[in-house]
Amino acid sequence: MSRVFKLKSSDNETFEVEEAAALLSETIKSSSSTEITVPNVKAEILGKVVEWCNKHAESEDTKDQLIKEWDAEFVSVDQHVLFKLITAADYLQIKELVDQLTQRVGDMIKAKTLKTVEMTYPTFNVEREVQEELKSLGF
Amino acid sequence: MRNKRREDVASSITEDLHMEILVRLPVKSLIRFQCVCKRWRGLIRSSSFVTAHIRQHSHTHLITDDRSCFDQVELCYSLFRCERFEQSLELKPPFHPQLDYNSRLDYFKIYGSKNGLVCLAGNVMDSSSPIYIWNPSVRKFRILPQPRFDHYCVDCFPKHVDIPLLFGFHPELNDYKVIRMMLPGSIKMEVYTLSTNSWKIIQVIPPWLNTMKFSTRSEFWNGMAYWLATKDSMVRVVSFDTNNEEFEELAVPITILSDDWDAYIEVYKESICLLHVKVELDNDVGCDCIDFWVLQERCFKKLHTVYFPQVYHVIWGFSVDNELLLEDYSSDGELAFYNLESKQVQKIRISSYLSVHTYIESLVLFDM
Repeated sequence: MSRVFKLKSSDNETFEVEEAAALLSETIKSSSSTEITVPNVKAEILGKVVEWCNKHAESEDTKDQLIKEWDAEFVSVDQHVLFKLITAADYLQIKELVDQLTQRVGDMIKAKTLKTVEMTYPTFNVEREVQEELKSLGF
Repeated sequence: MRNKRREDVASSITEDLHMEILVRLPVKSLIRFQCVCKRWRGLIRSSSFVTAHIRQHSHTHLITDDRSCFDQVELCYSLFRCERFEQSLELKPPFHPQLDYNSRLDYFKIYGSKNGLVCLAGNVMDSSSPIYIWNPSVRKFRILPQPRFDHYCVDCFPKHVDIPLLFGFHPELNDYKVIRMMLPGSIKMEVYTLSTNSWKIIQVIPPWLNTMKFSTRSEFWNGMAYWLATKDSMVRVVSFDTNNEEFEELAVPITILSDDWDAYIEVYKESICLLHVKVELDNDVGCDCIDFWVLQERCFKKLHTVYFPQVYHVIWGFSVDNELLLEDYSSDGELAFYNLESKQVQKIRISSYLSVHTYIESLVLFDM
């Protein structure tokens, strides 16, 4: 008899998750209760994480081409949503999802110029001296 | 207003998650992004990040020595990226041994490639000949301080004794070593450590070491050096532990019937193994077979024999995925990766090189 877990978002919405999907999260696995509140994660984001878990619980072979395509689609979201998903997946300790999301951010950053990376992280100051040093080395 | 929202989002993730993202980026990107902010700069240059990055990027690339002949006046190398090894990137070393040290380039070669570092040297027997440790991906290099011993042997002329330098990684110490053994005559040895940038003379050389006949094949693995040697027509492997500076003689039950024997020492699936190449010319099509011996608890056990349809293979070592890199000497140096388990062959279209070496990209030496 499979247990049902209840995940509650920060805006008080509850998601019911089957055991197989729920146990993909190390946080849930090591929790004594079947009701878990995920702080700082809104329903929109938590819903997507649940969707990922459900998909991965039902697919036996994660190396399958179809699920790879599904995963690629799943992470093709706005940067804003991406970072929020990372926070949620990290809190719930779903390693494979964190790997996929961080890989996606990495791929997005890779192609960016310094100027656009600066815009993603606007509170930071770019070290001009280091930039000059790199330029002189031919980078 | 839009900027403010972005600000919230990216800095809301933890340091660990920043690391998870950055560690997936290639070296080229990280070199640029280390000037985004002090936090990233510190992270990218940290030892733990460099180690994690190596683990994440363990894909075998290839580096070739592209000189058309050994006495070409300039050094040139190419990098071929996995998995298709098609495009090459020209690598011009930022050092010039022939100009700076009046060193002959015809002896100059790559002695080892590990964790993105390449060790190059010329006439190893001459202490004034430069030895370099170079990371082509970050364009940093270290020139080793001059070692102590020089080779001088009245009895051997021509003097160039081809005993290689050993270069390798010591995982427990997270450090790199270069071992220089002086032969023939009474053996002398020095060990260089990257972190201290100094040579250490090995004081205790056991007398039995001088009775060994050393070949040109050797390997460094897990803090230990291994040399292939013979004694009384039997194959021996001499090991040296860089921790306790002890030598050991390991027996291999292979009898050498003629001078025409060939074997290699390599690392396969994290074990030292000996590849004994045997050429059988029974039929019209010659056949190469290679006996694989694996070191298990200080003695070598035969694992299996692999047959190849052609002869005259040169073995260039194993990739990080444990595939054997072979050169088909008879067909103009065609290269191939051979998977011992699946028996699949991946041919690689690289030609015209003096030597080829497996290579991974890393950030080691970047903080120099």
